[in-house]
Parts: sequence; structure tokens; C-alpha cells
Amino acid sequence: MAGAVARNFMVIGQCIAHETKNAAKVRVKKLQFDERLHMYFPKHTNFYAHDPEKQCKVGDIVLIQALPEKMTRFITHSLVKVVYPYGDVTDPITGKKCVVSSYRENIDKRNEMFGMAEEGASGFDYAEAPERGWQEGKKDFTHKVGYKKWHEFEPGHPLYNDPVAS
Amino acid sequence: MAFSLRLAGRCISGAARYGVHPGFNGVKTTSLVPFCKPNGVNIPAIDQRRHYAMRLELTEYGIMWRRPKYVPSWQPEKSGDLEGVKEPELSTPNLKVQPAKDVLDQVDEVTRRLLSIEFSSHKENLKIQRHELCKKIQRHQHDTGSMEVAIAMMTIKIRNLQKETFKCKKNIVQRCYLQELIDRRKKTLKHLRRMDYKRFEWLIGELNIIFRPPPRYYRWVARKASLKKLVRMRKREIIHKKLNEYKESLESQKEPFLKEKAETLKWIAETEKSLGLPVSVTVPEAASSSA
Repeated sequence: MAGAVARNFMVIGQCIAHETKNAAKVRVKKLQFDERLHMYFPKHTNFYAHDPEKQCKVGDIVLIQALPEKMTRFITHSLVKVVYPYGDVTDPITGKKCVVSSYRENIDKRNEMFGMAEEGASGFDYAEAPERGWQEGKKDFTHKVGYKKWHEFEPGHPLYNDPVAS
Repeated sequence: MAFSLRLAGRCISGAARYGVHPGFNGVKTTSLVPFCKPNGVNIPAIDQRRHYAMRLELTEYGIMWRRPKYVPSWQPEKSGDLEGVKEPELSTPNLKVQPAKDVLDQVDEVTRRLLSIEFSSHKENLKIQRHELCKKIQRHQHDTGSMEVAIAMMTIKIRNLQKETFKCKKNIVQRCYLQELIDRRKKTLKHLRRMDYKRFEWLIGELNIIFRPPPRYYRWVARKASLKKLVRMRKREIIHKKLNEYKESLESQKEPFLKEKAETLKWIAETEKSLGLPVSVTVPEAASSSA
């Protein structure tokens, strides 16, 4: 159990899919020292951070802070900010957009040097691409908790042919 | 009797062996084996479906569990492919002769037809499919190795193999290869999602693939747990229904109560006024205005 002082610290973690309303489920990872083996082992704790505007999406790295007192039975933290949106990272030093280990502008330059094919043109343009979430609920179901199909629901039921079930 | 039973048992195993593939857990609803006639012994129809003893006290309330139909993981339903193979037009010239387009336009009809994929192998057809999709997806004209092109190429292979596997399910090597491809594509999509979310969304829209999260838990689909869930769902339904009814009844009581309250307050105020006492209540505006 963390002490009262430690509770005021901000912690950084990753959002995971959940079903709670007005909150984001944040998984905070830490290393726990094993006295007997003198080794660190990865451990994680889940926190619920108050987020009524749904700023954080699944996979984002977010900064959260403990509330002075519990908001509900589950919600114990408040969202400070979204540090790194998932799959759309800005380099904190240069302030440029980057993909894994290279800047987006470098990738674009490289593509320009190769040149587009005559007939074909890549349909994707990062500058014009819509914000993340336009495929949510259509083809991308990662915002929901996946489960195994366990019952054949009747047509008309909200869980009939649920695309989230695998 | 023992003889006929033994025969019957043999018959059942035979039917299972030669009948329609019953699927995992034997759940697939196969047609009933109408009649078995081994060596002239007649036995009644055998229902090959697996039945589950349902809890009768739940069945009375209409809570029945139906085990989901087993779908092999190589099928498009599971792999997430929303569309099948896009067949190119038969008049498309082979990929080999496509650079010489000017010459091809000048030659006669028969030659052009011979050089089209109508008279070529399936391989040429695949090449055309790959080429056409690659043009749509690739980042630049020589791009064959980027993640999205790799995923697109895998998708073409997967859809063609799925078509083949529906025709012949016993080609196990092919089926395994298909399964491996599906898994690899899933993994690559996962990585692309992590690296470049916008491109990932564009790609799944372009290729018409559903990307679903893995199940949080892998557990057996069992009757007991499923029935428990169903009962819980029914319970929640009933609670919501009753609460809503109660809310409605309270809402309907609200109006008459407010009316009565206004009238009473008005009466109090009037009485106090008539007795020459200071008015101790505030009459709501609606009541005073109507008066």
C-alpha cells in the first residue's frame, strides 16, 4: 500500500479497453523487487481515472493523479494529460511527428524521391487523414473488451452477431 | 440384441466418419442420419447433434443456452475478411505483356485474347490481382516491402486460399499455411496499429478487414457459466424494467401533488391574510397567477 504522500504523485500508464462510464482504465506498470531472489519482476496495477470527455483512447500513454478522495467506488484518479496518443507520437525534443524511429517528414521525402507510379497513387496522406476513431465500431473494435463467443443470441438482441466476439 | 447393438454402434461410427464433418465438439447441426442399413439391420434415425441437459427451472423462464456454432478459424468470418477475391476482368492482358501496351493495342483481337488472362494460368491471375492492389496501397512506385503492402499481399493470398479451402478442406498443408498467413497478417496489423494508427485505419478500410481485440480471457465455453451469465442478464433486465416502471409511476404522481400543494398553500395564505396575521408561506407563482 502506498502511503498518503505517495498518493499525491502523478503516475504514467497506458489506457486499456474497459466498460466503465466517465472513466479511463489505466494500467500502470512498475518493477517489484523480490528480496529472496534479488531480482525485479514486472507488476501492474489498474486505476480508473475520471475522464467524462473521453479524451483518452485505448493504448494512449496518459498521466494521472490521485484524487484527494474517491469519486466513486472505482474512480480514484483524475486525468492530467494525454502524453503520447497511441500510434501518433510526437517527438518531445524536436516537436516533430515520428513513426517509431524515423520522422514523418523524412519518410515523406524518401517517398517523393522514389516517385509515385503513373497510374496508382497512394490513397493515404497523413496531413489529410481523419482523426483516429473514424473506423471505431465499423472495422476497428479495439475500443471494446474482446471475448469469446459464448451464446447464439436471437436476431434483434444487441449481442446478436457481435463483431467484438471472436 | 447384443448383435444389433454392436452393429448399430458400428453404424454410428461409420456415419460419423463418412458424414458431414461434425465440427469441433460435434456441434455443427448436421442433418439427421435418416436410416442406417448395415447388413440389412434397420435401426431408427440417430440424432448426431450433441444435446445438453438444460436446467428446467430456467427453461420455464425462457432462459435457454445455445452453444455457438463452431467456425474454423481459417474462415473469413473469423479471419475478419468482409469480402472475397476480387477477380480481374478476363480481358486484362498478362502482366508480362503490359509494358508493351502500344504494341498490344495494334494487334488483332485473337492475339490480344490469347495474351489475356483468360488463357493463362491461375498464377497470372494472381499476379494481376497483386499488381492492382499494390498500386492502390503502395507508398511509392517501387514500394513492395512496407507494412501495408505486405498486409495487402497477405490478404490476397488469404482470400484465394480461403476460396480453395472451401472447395477442399482435406488439404491440410494448405489449410495450415492459410492459418499461418492469417495469424501473421493479424500480427502485422497489430504492429502497424501501434506504429501508425491513422494509416492502420485507412488500410483496414481499404482492404475491408475487421480488426477485433483478442479475448481478454480464454476459457472453455461451458453451459454452467453461460447460463449464469444469461440469468444475470435477465436479472438486470428485470431490475431496469421495474425501476423504470416505478419512475414512471412517481412522475405521474408529481403533477397532481404539485397542484394539491399549490392549492393548499394558497388556502393557508388566504386564511392567514383574513385573520390579519403575517403570511408565513410562499405561494408558487403558477398558483397565484391562475388565481
